[in-house]
Amino acid sequence: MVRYLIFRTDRIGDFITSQIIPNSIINSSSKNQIDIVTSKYNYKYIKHFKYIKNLYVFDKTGFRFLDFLWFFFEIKKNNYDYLIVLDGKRRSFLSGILISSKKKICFLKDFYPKLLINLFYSKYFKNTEISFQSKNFETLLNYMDIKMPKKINYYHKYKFKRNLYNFKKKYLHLHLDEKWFENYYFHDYDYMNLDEDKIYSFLDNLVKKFKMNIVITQGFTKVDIVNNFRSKYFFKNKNILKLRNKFVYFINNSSFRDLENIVKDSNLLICCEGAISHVSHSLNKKTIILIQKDRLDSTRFWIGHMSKTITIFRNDIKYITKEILKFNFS
Amino acid sequence: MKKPVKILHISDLHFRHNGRLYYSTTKKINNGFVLNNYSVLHISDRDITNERMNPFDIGSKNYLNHKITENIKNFRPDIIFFGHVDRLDYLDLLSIKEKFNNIKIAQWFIDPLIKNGPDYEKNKERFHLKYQFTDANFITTSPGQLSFVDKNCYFIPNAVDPSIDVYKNYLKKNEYDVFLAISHGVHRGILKKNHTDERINFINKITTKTKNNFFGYKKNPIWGAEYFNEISKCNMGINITRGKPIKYYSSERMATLLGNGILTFEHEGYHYQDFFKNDEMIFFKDIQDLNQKIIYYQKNDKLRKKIARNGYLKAHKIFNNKIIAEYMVKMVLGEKIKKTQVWHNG
Repeated sequence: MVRYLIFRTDRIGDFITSQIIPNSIINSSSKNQIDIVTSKYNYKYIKHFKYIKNLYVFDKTGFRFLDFLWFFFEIKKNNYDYLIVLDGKRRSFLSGILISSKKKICFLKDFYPKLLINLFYSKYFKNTEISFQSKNFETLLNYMDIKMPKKINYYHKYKFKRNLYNFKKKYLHLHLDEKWFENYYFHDYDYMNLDEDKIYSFLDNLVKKFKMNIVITQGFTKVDIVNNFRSKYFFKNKNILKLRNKFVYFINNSSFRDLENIVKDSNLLICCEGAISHVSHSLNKKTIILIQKDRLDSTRFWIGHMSKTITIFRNDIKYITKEILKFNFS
Repeated sequence: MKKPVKILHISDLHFRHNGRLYYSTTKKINNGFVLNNYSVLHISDRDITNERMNPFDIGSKNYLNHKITENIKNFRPDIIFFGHVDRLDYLDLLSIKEKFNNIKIAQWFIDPLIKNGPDYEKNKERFHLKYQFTDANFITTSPGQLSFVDKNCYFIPNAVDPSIDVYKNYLKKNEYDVFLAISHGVHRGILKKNHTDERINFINKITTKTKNNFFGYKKNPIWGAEYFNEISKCNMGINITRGKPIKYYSSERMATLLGNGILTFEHEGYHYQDFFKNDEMIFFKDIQDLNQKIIYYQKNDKLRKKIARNGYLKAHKIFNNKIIAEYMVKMVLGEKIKKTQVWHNG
């Protein structure tokens, strides 16, 4: 049995992408032990992965001295074979120095203390965008004498939430989160210039093209335009709209685990690049991802390994509609 | 007109050894590139770092990095081939990759990668450092045997170079029966004091009923033209490699024996039976088997000559440096190879 401790205290999407690593570790021997250090927020999600033996919370928010001591007291009991800092955070890197492990590996981005790395870490990766993140993971696995399996089961021993929705017929999932709307995301991005009527027109085109129902979900940040669209086009207190003999369902509030269920049962997902596109890839779903043209290196770094996805540059909704209508999704 | 592929080949050409290692793998691969009409610029990394001493640049690492960068800028190669370039660290390689991301990077690695074998962890680290940045890797061990490589890793045999491996010992009756040479490292040149390894136990058990010409045990190893001169005096040669046999890994000496028309004895654990038939090379199970076969071929000189000739012809045909170099370049560029060799996909 080989014992691994992985620091992944960043976002859910990062955790899902890095599932390549624990999945390959377990695949190489089911006796291997994997412990994960996570943030308080991600803990609620990650705890549903049953392959993880110990899950430690290590969070800068609400992190107090006693918690800090308790964390080290708990973690000190284990002598790890490999300690892997995947999140590139300074606190994870520095904590890794204090934890006992035969080999220590870190992924770092801007923070680069050469002396400390040479003294305490046996291998390091600078998380630049010159190769895909999945390639970096593969190299890390190879370094640990592990080969990446041909098929990654991102949801290995994962307990999906009970599905609250049953849409019966096949549907297209449109994840209309804040990334679609200016003033809610990065200002220097290209935007789709959506308003209530343009969203409706976009949906109309999608129904016409794909001839299936549509399920709209939102992100955790609520957007006024989306709410106004809902008020304008949906019946009061109803979340269903009829369009060309098909139905458009509006899901107002959904947790990340609810979103997973919606993606799981969908036939196609349209979304901006983010955690949900990683879920979709993990579930082997056809996906159209909107990406920023001048951030291609960064995008490739995250989604370069996704084979079933189609990317369209972020632009005015007219352009996006035109591009989507071009594709043949048989 | 199709322009020739431009290759920046960074590996040790042993200038500082004054011709003692003129037959090194670097030289053979380099010759192979030239024979394919590729445009080759060579940087002999260890000679560069050896020539310059600077207390503020330990190991002349920064100087080497600067030299490489300047050469890339001026030459603008299509491929950078790294040999055993160990002076560059992770950040140096990362910087090259970042600055010249459109240039393909590849490495060849001919040291043993045998678990429980000599220098396993060290060699694995050396290989893996460049593996992170490469588009293709070429090793003299079957990649399928290694737990730490995945994609873009290909087997290449040790090369035979017709301009270096010039003897045809099968044509005549030679002064000695058996040739064997080992060393304690090519760069070191001489034997270490009080050093022993598993090869010595093996050598001690080799038959003394034959006239043997052994080097690297009791007497110092030989190098340069003297090495080939001693080879030219022998009928048969034993190839022994440190560590437990692993598929296809062999000392580069094997290519020298075969390539100079010597009847070559190789342990069957290296699986060279996949490339050579029993009438081209002699495979042995253990020391008893080896001794019996040596005695047999000592008495059957006609058969010795025949098998050695067959082995020579086969080695010059399939392990030829031109063929190996072309394979390496085509694999890096993702181009189709016209003629498949038996060791492709090894």
